[in-house]
Amino acid sequence: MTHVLVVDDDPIITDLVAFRLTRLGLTVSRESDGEAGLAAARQLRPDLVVLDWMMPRMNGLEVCRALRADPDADLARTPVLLLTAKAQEPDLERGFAAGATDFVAKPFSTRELVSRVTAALPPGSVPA
Amino acid sequence: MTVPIAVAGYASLLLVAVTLLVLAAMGLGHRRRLRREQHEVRRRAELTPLVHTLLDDEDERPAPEVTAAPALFDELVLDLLPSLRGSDRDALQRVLATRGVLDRAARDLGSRAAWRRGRAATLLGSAAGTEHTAALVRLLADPDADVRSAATRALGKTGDVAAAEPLLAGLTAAPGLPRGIVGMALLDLGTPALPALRDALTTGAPTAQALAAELLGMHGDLAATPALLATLADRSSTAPSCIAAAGALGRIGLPTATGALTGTLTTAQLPAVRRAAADALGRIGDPEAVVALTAGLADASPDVRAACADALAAIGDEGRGRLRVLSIAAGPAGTAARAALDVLALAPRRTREVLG
Amino acid sequence: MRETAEDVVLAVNWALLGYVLVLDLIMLLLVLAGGRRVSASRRWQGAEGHRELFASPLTPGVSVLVPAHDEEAGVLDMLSATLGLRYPLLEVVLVDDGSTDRTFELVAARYGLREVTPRWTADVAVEGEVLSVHQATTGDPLTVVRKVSVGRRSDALNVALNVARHPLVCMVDADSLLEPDALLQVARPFVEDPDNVVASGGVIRTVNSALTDRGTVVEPRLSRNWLVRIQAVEYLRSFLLGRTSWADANALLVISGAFGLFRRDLVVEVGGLDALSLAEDAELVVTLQEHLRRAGRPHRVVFVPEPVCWTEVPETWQVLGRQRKRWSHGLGQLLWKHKRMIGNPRYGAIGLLALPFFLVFECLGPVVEVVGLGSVVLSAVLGLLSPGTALVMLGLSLALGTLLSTATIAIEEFSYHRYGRARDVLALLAAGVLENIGFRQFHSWVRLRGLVAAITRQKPVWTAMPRTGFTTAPEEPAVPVPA
Repeated sequence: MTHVLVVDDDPIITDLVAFRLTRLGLTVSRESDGEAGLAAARQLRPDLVVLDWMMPRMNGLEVCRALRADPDADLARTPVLLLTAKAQEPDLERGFAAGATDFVAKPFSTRELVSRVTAALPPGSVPA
Repeated sequence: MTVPIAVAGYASLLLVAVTLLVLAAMGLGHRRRLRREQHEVRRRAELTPLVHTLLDDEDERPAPEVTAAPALFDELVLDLLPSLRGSDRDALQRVLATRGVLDRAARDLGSRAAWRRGRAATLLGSAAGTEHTAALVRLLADPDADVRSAATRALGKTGDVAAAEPLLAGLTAAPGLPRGIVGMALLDLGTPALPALRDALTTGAPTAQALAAELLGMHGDLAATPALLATLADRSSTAPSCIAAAGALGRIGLPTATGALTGTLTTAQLPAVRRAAADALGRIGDPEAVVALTAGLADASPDVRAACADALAAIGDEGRGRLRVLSIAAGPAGTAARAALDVLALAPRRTREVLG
Repeated sequence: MRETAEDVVLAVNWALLGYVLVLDLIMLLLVLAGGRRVSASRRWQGAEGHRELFASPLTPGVSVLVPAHDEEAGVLDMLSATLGLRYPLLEVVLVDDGSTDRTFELVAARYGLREVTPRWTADVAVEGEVLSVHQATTGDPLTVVRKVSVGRRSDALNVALNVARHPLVCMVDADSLLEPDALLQVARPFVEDPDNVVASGGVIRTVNSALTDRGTVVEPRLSRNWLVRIQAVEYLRSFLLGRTSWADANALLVISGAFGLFRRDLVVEVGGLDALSLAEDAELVVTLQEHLRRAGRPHRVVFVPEPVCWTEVPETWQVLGRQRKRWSHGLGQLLWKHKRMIGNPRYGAIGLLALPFFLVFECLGPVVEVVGLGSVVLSAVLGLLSPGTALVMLGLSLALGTLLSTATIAIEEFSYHRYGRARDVLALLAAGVLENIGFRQFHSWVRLRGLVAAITRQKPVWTAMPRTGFTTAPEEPAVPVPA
């Protein structure tokens, strides 16, 4: 089963994204801050991580960098989707420089999110 | 003199009694609040999945559970609405319309309580289409400042370009609108607002002119370039207008503006205006500006010197070469040059320094 | 003959008591007015537009200036929290003001500091020599300046001012934690009204023993230390005072050192922070107002009535005494320096309301309280006043003071209820009572000494407060917390 990890400190967002992705047939795990998210990623080895940027304790960029720098090659290659309101030019530059695979700007459309998630995952990962 | 003592005594007792009452009220209030919060948490958990299913519904007619859901349901929808756009947003807006939320809000626009008017305006901004533009425009003249701000924001969100003119007019008309909120609303309206902005640039009051310049710059509107250059050249332009025009020319990025900007850099009285010109020249990146920027390194204001150095760093090989030459010099110019080079060294991947 | 003497003594004592009671009564009314506005403003929650501010390109950048002297205990947490604030464009300028501990080393290691040539943006006069300037190489917008200490916070801040790059500056101590939305809240007035607003301030709360985690306040817990508890009540009260709707007499609270955001160009224009002042932030606000009003330029100071900053407060009488004496000294200096503004309608609400308020409450208040208390006690001891009368007088004063504290806590409980645990609220209430027995008298005495120091032009000395660091959440033993 394809596993997605969603990390956002806003429960309204995590609930919605989890709902949407579960509808697609994916397994979804949720965390509400960066550190817990990183730990969960290391433990659960998801196929994709949806990451908010502005979070307490450890922000999304730091999590992304930590993932990319992880000694485990598989984990370091995990696709990371940044879901954030920070989407000005300099933010995009920093995000991609930190290793993000894609960006979804808030306010977002769940249909767009689904398309990008599907595109970021290996073909055939999404049952729907 | 026993009377004052007796009075004081009674007064003390009265105060103690009032204190005890307050304590009792606190205790009761605390308990009630806890119970209410727990109840709400339960209800939210029940209703949230219902809200989520709305987003999948291609069906125009809402499910019966949705129409019958309590008022908390509307709150959940409204919580979610600002984070979404596209078809999700449309779906949620439809639900609110069907549940009569929008109609109630429209009526509340005329409420006597300011907070009700304000909340109604905010709600209509998030949730409604363009049917309420006229009513919201009327609120731009509301006696309460917070209500005016809420109405301004709402007009931006509804996306009705007919609001652009009233917004710009509202900047200077009494009782007046805060410049920043009008700016954000106009940005929300997007490119359809460009004609109104170009108008304000040439014919508007100074406040509107400065704001229009700033926004046209953010849009990168090439068509506005002549008017922006005219603003810079006009002696009667206010400092904020000049600063905004310079900033806009920088963002638009046409090298045709280099001449006017170098002129501003050399002759403007206020350091803030010179700084804006330097920043703009850096963004444009035209090597023609190198001479003026080099001279700017000797400016009296440290802020201007730093901006000139950063601009030179952003103008490719010519600018950077010049910086390296200057960096050996002693004095403030040399320090500024070295500082800019250090910044470059620290961020080698950036080909253009993005200034602030 | 003796009767006349007794009558005179009695009258004098009643007069002194009367002054104190009237002050307390006015405070109570102000607190209630503040409470009313709190409940009114909570209806607006959700309609303030913060989300838009965050995402908007129109929101101006903020430079956060942090003076630090021997702050190894909490500096990393503070930096981490500050750099992670919810704000679209910010930088942090940390000034290592002659630290003798590992402050600099810790920061250098965490952020990969590299020395650079200083990028000067202003030339405000600075006394302590600047040794070096460093940039973070982790991609964080952090600049660190090392300088020689001259024992004054204002000097460190002025250096930071010379290196700051954004249009707005905010000055935060290394022991303060900002709420994630703090900058959005206090920057809001600047975004909405950029032409007129020159400074804005937010509310400070006590952080001692709050549960924090890597610089975020997870749960505001009340310290076990009674002194801290009493100060928590004090801060709550001053917060509510700031909620009253006196147009721009809101400057009142920014003056009393609440967390502040200023326009950088104007601070540079008035020459930065006053080197001699012990209440630099407050002094800056008043100087700005004076300068701008005289030039007929816009000068709006906005108080943002939201709690935005958590700060460590003294835990011992000794340190507290020093702090309050310093504040009082600074306030005395400020009032003297700007004496022409007091009661002067030309300076609007600051001149007519805020400064006189400070004079009457903060300056003369302690004098009258100390003299009054002394007088009552002396009179009782000398037999000029019957013990019963003395007790009733003191009792009345105590009762009103207690009601004031209780009302404050009640309003907090009904509005923000940030102290979630019932036992914390009860502790606060107890502290409210205790405040009037001992603390208030000590406070008045110390403030009196500060006032005397100001009048006798004593040379100001800034001594650092011993840091206890932050209490980290149980599952996070990462940061060492010295006792």
